[in-house]
Amino acid sequence: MVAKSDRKILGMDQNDFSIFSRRYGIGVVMIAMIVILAIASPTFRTSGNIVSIMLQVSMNGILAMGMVFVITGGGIDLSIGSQLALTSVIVGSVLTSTGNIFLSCAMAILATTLFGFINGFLIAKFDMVPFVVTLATQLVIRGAAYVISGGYSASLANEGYKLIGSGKVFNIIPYPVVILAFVGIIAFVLLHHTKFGRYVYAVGGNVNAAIASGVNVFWTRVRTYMFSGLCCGIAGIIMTSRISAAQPNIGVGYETDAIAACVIGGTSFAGGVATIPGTFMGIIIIGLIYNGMNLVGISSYWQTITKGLLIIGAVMLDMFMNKKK
Amino acid sequence: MKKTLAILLLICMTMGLVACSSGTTATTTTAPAGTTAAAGETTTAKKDIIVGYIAKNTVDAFHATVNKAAQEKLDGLVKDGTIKEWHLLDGLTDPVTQVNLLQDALNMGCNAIIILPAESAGSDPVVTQCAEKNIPCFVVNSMTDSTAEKATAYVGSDDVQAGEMMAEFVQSQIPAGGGYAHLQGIIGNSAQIQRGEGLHNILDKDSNWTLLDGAEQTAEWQAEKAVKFAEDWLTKYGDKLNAVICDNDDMSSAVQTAMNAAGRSDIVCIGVDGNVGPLTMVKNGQLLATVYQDGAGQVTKAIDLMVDYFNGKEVPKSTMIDFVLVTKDNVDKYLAS
Repeated sequence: MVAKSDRKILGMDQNDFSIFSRRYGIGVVMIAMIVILAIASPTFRTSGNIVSIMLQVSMNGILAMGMVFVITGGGIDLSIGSQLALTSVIVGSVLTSTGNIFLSCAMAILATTLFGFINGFLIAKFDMVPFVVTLATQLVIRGAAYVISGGYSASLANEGYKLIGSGKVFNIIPYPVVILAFVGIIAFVLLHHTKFGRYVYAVGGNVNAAIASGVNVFWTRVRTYMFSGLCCGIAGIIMTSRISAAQPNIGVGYETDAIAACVIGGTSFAGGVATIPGTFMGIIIIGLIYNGMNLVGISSYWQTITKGLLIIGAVMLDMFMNKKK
Repeated sequence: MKKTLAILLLICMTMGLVACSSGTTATTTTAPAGTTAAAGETTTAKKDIIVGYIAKNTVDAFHATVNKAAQEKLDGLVKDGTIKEWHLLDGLTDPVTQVNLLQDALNMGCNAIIILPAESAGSDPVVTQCAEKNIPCFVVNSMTDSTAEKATAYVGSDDVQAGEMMAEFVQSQIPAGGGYAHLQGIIGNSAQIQRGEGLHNILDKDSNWTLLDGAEQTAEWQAEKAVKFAEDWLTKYGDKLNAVICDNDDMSSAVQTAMNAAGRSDIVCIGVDGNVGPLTMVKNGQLLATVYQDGAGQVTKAIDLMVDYFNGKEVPKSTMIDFVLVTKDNVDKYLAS
């Protein structure tokens, strides 16, 4: 991005302003939702409910943190729902055979990161279409989850493992929320403050320019998928603990919410544009749709419609911003 | 222009929310009306019972029927002041969502939970957490792993019975025996496991019947997948295929339609549930029979038990509602409701 503009808006140059308004625009929607829900539902305002919302968004949040790297790098990862299932059954089988919590989590994360690597390798090495590759690996990974589990789901009795999903720091903040914050900070630093982050933007924004400036496109893309795989592993561990069951048929459709959170948060499908705070707002908005509307008593049919309308609105905003540039 | 878009977005949102809040006012106005009436009429101690109804989903035909029956029953209880209010929460066929919804329900002050589990293992934390918090939990339709120990009551149907009924119907229709195929639901689901078990209980013992090679596959409850399998088997086995037994009747009715179209209406297809489509086919003579699962009966029984529980009565831990074989003779009774 060349800062050739010398026009200033609100003391920022035009480019900064466009990024700012992108964040600000979705922030307005988020705040409006919070205000309306707070008026419409007394339950919404309770501290217990705020903790619930954070807990409920934690898994999708972690998935979206991985997804935002992939989309910014010009890709898409449809395999994350299956990755959750794979995590679940690996944790389940390792935990039942060894009883070692750390080992089971490590094995699961290793496996999902490896599949992330495979996704990235196929896409970056052979220049295959990300949509098609991850659509295919989605099937492969889901199948692997069925093979490992033999198709059966199993309850996990390990009390220590259950604590990952149900434990609380200071008896207030659930562990999954802490994990989300931790992943969020890592994602923020990675994307906004490291060379890798700048390379992701460069590769997603303009591949040819990135190659010309000596960016290692192959490894940059592979790493975005590996990070997404890593996030799937972490989210999967939380999910498995929350339901305390190893379930091979779980996670179907989870990619939709993760992608939606990214898009609502201002991530451009064209690649090269995204912010972690924006994505975070997207995550919260998705959470508000589910939680708020349940509290107010809206049928899930309307929740689905609202989610769809929001995505269209966000994409319109995105297109408009891109045209402006 | 930027502002216009922002405003457009806001309008989108508010419209959605207005639609919602108009819905709420409707429910909230009925609730106080119900309670005031109760205060005047009933002499028993008024309890502030708030029921959280965690549905499996709101889109399957079977669950739509169950939810509708629950809605009528619970609305009635709100009107006569037995309960203060109730909330329908959609589990989206996802155990994680159901666990989250329990949180929402508790935040809304629910002190009784009715759940139709999405998964036997995955939805179990709903039951165990209710038990930990001493909240009565009524499990309907399918059991979770610790339902027997920890739930207040379970109302369902014995899926093994359904499997056995299907097998016996096939035996009665074709006494000479033959080859059959079995289309399963999503593997690992308790209904899939138990219906299969019932089916094999009967047909494995019957030397006249053989399961055709490779003809036991999962079509994941889905009609179009079931048809694909059945058509392939028809091509492969031809006259050796005499019956197709399905874990639900969305699949069996679709398969029967395909078999009829292929000129093989002699193939007996049967499934479980009693959805409107298959029942209509039974009425029209296109399908011989279907096994009706009385979901509405299950949920109304569970709600009755809940009321009993709050009145201090002892409630049975487990109640089974029988499956019914629906043929042309009795179809009108089930199609009307």
